[in-house]
Amino acid sequence: MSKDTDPHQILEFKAASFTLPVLRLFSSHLGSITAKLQKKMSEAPDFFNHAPVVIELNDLAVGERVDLPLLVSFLRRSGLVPVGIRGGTAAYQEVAVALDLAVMAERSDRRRPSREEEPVPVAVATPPPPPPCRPGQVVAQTVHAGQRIYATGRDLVLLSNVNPGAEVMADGHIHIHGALRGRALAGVQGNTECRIFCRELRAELISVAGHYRVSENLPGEFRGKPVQVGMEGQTMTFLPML
Amino acid sequence: MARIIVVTSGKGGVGKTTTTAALGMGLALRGFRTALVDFDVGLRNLDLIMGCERRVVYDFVNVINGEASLNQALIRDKRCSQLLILPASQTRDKDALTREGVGTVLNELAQSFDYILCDSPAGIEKGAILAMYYADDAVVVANPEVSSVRDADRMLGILASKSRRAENSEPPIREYLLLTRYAPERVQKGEMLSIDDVREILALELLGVIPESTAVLTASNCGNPVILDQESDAGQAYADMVARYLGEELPLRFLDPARRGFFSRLFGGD
Repeated sequence: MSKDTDPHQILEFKAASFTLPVLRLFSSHLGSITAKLQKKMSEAPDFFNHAPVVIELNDLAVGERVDLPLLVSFLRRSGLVPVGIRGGTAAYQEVAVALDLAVMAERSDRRRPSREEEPVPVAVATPPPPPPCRPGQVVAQTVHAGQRIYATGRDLVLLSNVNPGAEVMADGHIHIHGALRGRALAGVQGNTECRIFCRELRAELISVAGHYRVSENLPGEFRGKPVQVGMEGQTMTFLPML
Repeated sequence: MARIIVVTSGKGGVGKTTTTAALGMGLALRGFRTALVDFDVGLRNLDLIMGCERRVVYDFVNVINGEASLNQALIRDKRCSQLLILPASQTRDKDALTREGVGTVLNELAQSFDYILCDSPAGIEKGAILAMYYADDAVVVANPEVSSVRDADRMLGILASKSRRAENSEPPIREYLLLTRYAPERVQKGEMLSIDDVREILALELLGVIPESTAVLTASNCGNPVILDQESDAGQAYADMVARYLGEELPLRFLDPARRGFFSRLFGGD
């Protein structure tokens, strides 16, 4: 996988996108915010533990000022990792910089209603933010030789075949509802829980979390069969599927 | 409106030019106004297969560069007046082709023709990409052999992503498979992929199976598209292909090994 990297290379910058939970504030009242947060976090402690979070200030009504340093220290004490703010005035942004927080770019994907017509919801009425869920990337067509598909940060679902010379990769699982004749790499970022599922195993190469097997090292009894591939410790496991 | 057909394969030597000549002649004989465009700039062959190499004055690159008009460059076939050939340049290379230039020429051809056939060069470089860019239909030519099938599959990926239709999110190019140089005896011996083996990878509508035939080489050498040789199996198979392209349903022929005569069975040998 690292065949392109120069052995003398120290570092490089790459662009990557992550799905981060965003904490939208509709009220500046710290007491209600902390109470509500504590309630939410007690409902799903695992989800919030060490979770990075971006504080969204765009939904605050004009004139409302939230005490950012206090809020940030509360979040940190609660086990969250505030990484930045979005929106807010220049004054907020100065505070954020002083707190070592990033100032995130404004969202450009949807038009925000103007301040005047924006309703000011009460903090307690806030709908619980849905847990971030990115459905897998679905590809309906056959993946042909020379094509490469990478599902970043999610599963990859292929409805047709992966032909010889094609390469499919995902940070999550890979589901192939046809024949796998090319290469499939699941858990590219190193997640050993990821698996590869396929209706017909004829792969050139399969890899889970960086552990790989080439065609000639695949167990013969699974050749051409429906199979799931995963990792158990350091060993790659093959299980039949119905 | 004209339909633009690219004849492509990825791999070289599989029969693209032979197929372009046969399909073009077949369509023209049925009365369609048909133009053949040779995209293999620098290695022009189509004019040889069509037997018009000594009549080439201006070529595709001259037209793109505005050095000649389309009418000056097009060569009318002597056997069928509905068929015209736009030859490639022998002295230039594929960089002489530009997307805009090709677009302008094809657009102009589309005004006065029913079918425009683009004979793609081998490979997946500029010439091949431009040959398929404006296509409505693609005839993917493959031999029953693994590297040809792999290259054809690569070309399918390119057709699906780099064509004008793909870039404009229009309905995709209609793709057809044409299997050429099919030798039933060798398939039976397991030396060659069978039709099913190929279709397992290239799951396309099968336009035809052209048997390996000495008639193809003979026809090429005399500059007569093999479809005109209706005595030969390859010529008949190409005629079937043209009919299927036009929507007729015909069974595949020439898939079984030829029955060996009494004497050859008696004395053995191939």
